[in-house]
Amino acid sequence: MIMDFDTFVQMGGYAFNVWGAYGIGLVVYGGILVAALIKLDRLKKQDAQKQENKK
Amino acid sequence: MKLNLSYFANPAHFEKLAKFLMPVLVVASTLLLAYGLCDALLLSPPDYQQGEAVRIMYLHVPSAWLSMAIYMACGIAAITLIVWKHTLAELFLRAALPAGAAATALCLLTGMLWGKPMWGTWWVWDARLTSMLILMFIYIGTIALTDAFDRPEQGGTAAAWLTIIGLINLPVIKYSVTWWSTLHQPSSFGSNNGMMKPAISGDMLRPLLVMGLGLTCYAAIIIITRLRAEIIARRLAVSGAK
Repeated sequence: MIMDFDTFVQMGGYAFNVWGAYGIGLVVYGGILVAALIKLDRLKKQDAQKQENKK
Repeated sequence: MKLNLSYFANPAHFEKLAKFLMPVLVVASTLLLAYGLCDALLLSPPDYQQGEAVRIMYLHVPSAWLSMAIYMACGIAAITLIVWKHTLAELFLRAALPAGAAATALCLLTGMLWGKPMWGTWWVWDARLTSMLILMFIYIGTIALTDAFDRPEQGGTAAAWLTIIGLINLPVIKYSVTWWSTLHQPSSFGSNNGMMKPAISGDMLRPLLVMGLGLTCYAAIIIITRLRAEIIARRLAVSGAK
């Protein structure tokens, strides 16, 4: 059974706790993946530059 | 066919494996998390006592599973590093420890957000919460140790020893709710009837397991991405030192 929109937004009076938890989850899990992808991209570019300099 | 694990300990072979695994993990985690979040936030029923606040469980419990599973994987990598001196084990430690720390931090934070309306307090010094906080400190300590030496191999070895010592904490976390009288509820998954008959209803167990699987695939993506970065960083450091 799907809940109605108001209950979904208000989470039965626990909106701060439920949405806060999922918001923190998004920031923590999203942030660590984005940071890892940025680091990998930067190092790949450095590696490619080094290979280029060797030639 | 015999599976030769040392084959994948070679960074070049690991890179091939990662390139094969990544698309599979991305598709699996996207599908599982999309369905899991719909089920957790929309389809699953509210708890008869906790109401809608129970929906925090679908993020809190898988984060707790992940924090311990990643630490166990780090423990195996640490033993591999100490015994067989595999460089990839050291790089795995460097890649996985921050992911485990993130899962632990999220477990603690979502636990606080769940605890406040249910227990009337953000925090209590009971055995489960305290042992999880100790796991967080162990993660922070090992991450700090990996970069505490001029030679990265020394840092990896020191972090491996601390990780092995910290393994003692895992059974303490798992059985803390059994060994001591705690405010924290017993395991949702186990029951007096064992693992085959979980204490929670099927409507709640389904999103819990789907979110658990989805976050496991997601954590694998993070660790593999970080590991690929660590392999390149080490290659650059070695070639720079020559």
